[in-house]
Amino acid sequence: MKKILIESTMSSPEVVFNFGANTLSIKGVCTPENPKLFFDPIIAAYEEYKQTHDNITIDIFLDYFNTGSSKCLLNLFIKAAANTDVNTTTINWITDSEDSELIESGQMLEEISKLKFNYVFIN
Amino acid sequence: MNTATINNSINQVATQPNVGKQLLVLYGELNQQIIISAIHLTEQKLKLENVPANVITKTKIVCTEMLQNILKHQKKVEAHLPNFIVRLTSESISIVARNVISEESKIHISTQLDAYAKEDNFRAVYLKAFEGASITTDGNAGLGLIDIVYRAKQNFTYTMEQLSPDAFSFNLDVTIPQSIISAN
Repeated sequence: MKKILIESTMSSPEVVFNFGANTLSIKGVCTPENPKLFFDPIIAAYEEYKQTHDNITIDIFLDYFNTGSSKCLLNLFIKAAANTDVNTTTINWITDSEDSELIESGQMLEEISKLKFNYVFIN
Repeated sequence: MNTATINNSINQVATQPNVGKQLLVLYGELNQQIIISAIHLTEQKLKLENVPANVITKTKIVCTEMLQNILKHQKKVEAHLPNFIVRLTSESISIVARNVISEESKIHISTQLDAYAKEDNFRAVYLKAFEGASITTDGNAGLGLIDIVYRAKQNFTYTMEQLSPDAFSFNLDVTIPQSIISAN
């Protein structure tokens, strides 16, 4: 398996887990009715991949999200923060430079997960 | 509720003085598709009003939580269907939601909101709640109310009006204040 691809919908983001490139990308609106159902397979795939691979990059580029999704992302980041002496994951939190709301949301998740984020501004 | 009553209610909402522009007035039962459409419509209205990107994002997140809370926790009473209003003034965005809840929910929500209103270091409370929350199999993290209050910087009021022994009309009015709008 080279890639996991979940196409975006009106309430859920596009997800691309490109194993060849060591990248996981989550992009778009993120307000699924059941975020656990949406994120659990992604988190499980990441955990499994992380056991045998280092230097993984996660790109998060969200429009807006609900609290359930935010909690699921936090769970993903907490998994990413574990065993950083063995393997590392880089989090790119991508936003519009003027969108302080999304920047603050990233900072909140960064603070709780204790994982350093890179803030990437598109404007 | 008959058509005349609905028209009367909408007319009352639309002609209220000193509430600014009514950007969105939604009445009736909700589902996920209606919520998505309501958020999209609100976003487009705010863009037309040249509201800054950060305020639009904040409004979309708060509206999503308020509408999804109604969808998940509403007690269906035909005579009192949910309504949801977004208003814009030169100083703030006001988001008002009204829906019917049970007595058990009323006690739970009132206790939470009263505690949030009094909290001095609300960011610490919010972070602790987020860190400690667990997400259920049906996707509930129990963080909706605290997230709404946090993003609105504790600018909210609410009322609970008893309709029957186990039915209360819960009215939540959240204000996204001027300081956030003028920040950009």
